[in-house]
Amino acid sequence: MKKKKGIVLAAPAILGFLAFYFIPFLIMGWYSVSFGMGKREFVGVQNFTELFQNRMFLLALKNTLQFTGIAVPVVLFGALGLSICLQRLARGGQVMRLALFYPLLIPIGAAVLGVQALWGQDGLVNWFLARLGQRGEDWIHTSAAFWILCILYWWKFLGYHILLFFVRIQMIPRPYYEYARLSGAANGTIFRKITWPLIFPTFLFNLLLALMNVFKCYREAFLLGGNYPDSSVYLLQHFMNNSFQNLNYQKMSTVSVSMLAVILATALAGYCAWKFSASKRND
Amino acid sequence: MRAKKREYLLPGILSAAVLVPVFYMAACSFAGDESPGFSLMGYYTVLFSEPGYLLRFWRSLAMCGVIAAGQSLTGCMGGAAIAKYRFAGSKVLAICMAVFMILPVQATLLPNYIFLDRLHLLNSWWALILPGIFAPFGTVWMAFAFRAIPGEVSEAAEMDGAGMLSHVFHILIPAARPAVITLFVLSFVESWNMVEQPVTFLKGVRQYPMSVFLASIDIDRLSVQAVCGILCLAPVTFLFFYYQQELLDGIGESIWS
Repeated sequence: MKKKKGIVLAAPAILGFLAFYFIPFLIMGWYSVSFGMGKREFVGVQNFTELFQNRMFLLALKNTLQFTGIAVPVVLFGALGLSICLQRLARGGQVMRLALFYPLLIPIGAAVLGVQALWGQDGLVNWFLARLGQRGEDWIHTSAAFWILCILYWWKFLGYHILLFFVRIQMIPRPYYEYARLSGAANGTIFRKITWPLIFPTFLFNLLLALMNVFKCYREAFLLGGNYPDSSVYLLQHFMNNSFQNLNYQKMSTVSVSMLAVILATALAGYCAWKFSASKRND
Repeated sequence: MRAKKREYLLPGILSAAVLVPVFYMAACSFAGDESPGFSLMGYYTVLFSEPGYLLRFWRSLAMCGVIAAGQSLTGCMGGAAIAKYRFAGSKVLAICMAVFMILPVQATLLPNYIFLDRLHLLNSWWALILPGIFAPFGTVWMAFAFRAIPGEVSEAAEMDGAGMLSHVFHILIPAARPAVITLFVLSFVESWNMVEQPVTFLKGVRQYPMSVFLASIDIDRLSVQAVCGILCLAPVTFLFFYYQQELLDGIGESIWS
């Protein structure tokens, strides 16, 4: 009885999800293994092998992996460290947390305005360089664009992760720490033995959101460099967007399906890690 | 435990630094286009002389309100179903939604496009509203939030004869109020800032909501651009200050216990 009710309750969410995301995605799945205009023929993994020989795709893949590999760990561990710092502050911590969260709300158009002011042709960085007698550059169109994108990501999402970590750390009972201090444990040991195991599930949830946000960063890259930016920030999303505009549906579908496979595999690994940590905690 | 001065340094500097672009934009909005110096021309142009800007602003605001409210509603219902009424396949559904949540907008643009084309909804704002309302993010978010509410609360409600709807709307949602409000704010911000969907689903600049429009304003008219930026910032800033307490304890408190 209870179970049937649940389906009714979830019906709007399920139906909307099926209609707008899942079923259309199955169509994409079919596109990714077939070829031809009008009548499509099954071609197996041919689209995939072609995709993985495409130079632009490999560049985009490399950049996206690099971006994820640098941006995500920094934002997660930075946020974790800062939330521990903020815990120790007697006053002003709330204001700081709110200030750090605020960039998430700022429209991208406005953020890009700020980037132009800093790294643009007539920007602040070039002004400083000119005073030092150096020649400036249009940084947004050089390989420095990669780091600008990283800074934008950190600027935008650091506060969001701090908010999530902070409350969880605050909920760890104080006596745990007092007891550890009394037994003479060092700060590092306290973090490893008390804080880290307790916040690990939160960490995974943050990781999930951070990965989601990595893919959202395309807007920034797009508004900075258009469809064909500097090759250091040519991301998978550029590749997909350009395929979409060329009406190359099967290329785009192939990318999406590959992406889904990678995310699924990662999610599975994450789920196993979570189960593992849960079973360890229960011991 | 009294904090030392040194400990304020890093967080303090960082939280001041992240706000610099906002102050910069505010400063730009008072700049004159022709002559340097203080000027209110930007505000005059946007607010009074050209009604196009404000009209677009109100229409975008209404659209994002609808998306955020719809997303919160479907998110609460779906999340409650997954967290509290474990039906057959609810776990698979949750994982499926979480995976689709991570996928970039580009991956779901084509599926959305195909479906909206069938429904003849392309080139109207419904093409932005419907996928926004049914985004899997809300359900995943609320499922996490509701899971943290102790089972005894639901059992007590059931003993008192509360039906399913009153259980969800009178017990669960008030108990997870900060998380619901945070979801509302996040999905409002998300739709307020969307770029890819309007560019793909709509034809013509006239239809574009505020977010895309902001990016397409002439760079030469810096003050107009900055004023539009501030106009864009106004609603989210209002939400931010109005719900600051919920945001502070909201995202975390009810989710992890």
